[in-house]
Amino acid sequence: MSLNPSRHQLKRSQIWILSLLVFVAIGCGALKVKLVGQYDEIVDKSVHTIESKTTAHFKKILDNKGLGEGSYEQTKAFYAQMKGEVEALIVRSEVLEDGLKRTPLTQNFKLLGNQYDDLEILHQTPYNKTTIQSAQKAFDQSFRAIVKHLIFMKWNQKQP
Amino acid sequence: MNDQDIKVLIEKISGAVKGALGDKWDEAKDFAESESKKFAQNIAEIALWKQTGKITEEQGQVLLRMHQRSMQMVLTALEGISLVMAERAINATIDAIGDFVNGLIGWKLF
Repeated sequence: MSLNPSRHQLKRSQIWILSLLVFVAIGCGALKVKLVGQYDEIVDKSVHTIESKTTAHFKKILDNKGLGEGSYEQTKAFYAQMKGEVEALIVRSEVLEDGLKRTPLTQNFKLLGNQYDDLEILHQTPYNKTTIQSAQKAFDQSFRAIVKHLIFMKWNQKQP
Repeated sequence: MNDQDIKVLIEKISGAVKGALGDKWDEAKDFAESESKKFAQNIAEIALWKQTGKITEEQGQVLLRMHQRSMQMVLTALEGISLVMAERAINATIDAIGDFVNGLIGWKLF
């Protein structure tokens, strides 16, 4: 098998040019990687607001032992309101994570929405202080997860 | 590029990654451990309440779902945190290599 010298030389020079371009690109920072969405203060503040309202809702249920002001009938508007606010967070995080392979913030907001669905179901069962306190622990953990993630995103943004 | 250059490059990359992440790895690890413990405790409580009849079957199922979901959210958040750290580490490495390449070439590209 004979080797065509000019084709071989052309291929070598192409490889050299490509390697040089890669080094140039690395050298000028053109190969920066983007794996995560941008930190967004509106999202952060909205999460805080939703968390505060949810804490207040649990307090209302527990203080009233699930009756009157703490009953499902008198608080069902809360669930619709929270689901609406979470939906807004989902829309915003979808924009922030648009084009990324992994969208953990969006996934977590969707799961948070599901938490409210289950809390609504629980609230309609006979009042039980134990179950409401346990549900509150689940929500606390849910919010800790989201907040921790946002803290890291904010840290990422601050670094040079 | 000789062996010494490669050694320097590796040291620069390690330094860049360590500098980029700082104590963040420990912070993420502590968070994961602490939340896992809480999840285990919560699940154990639900099992006991169901067994002793403190809660109904329906309440037990709903609570179990809620706690499994909150632990799923912790793991998802950790995925996000890992991506943040990976992005920082990779970009810090690229910066370190970029400076080193400039040094090898002998002139600044940008």
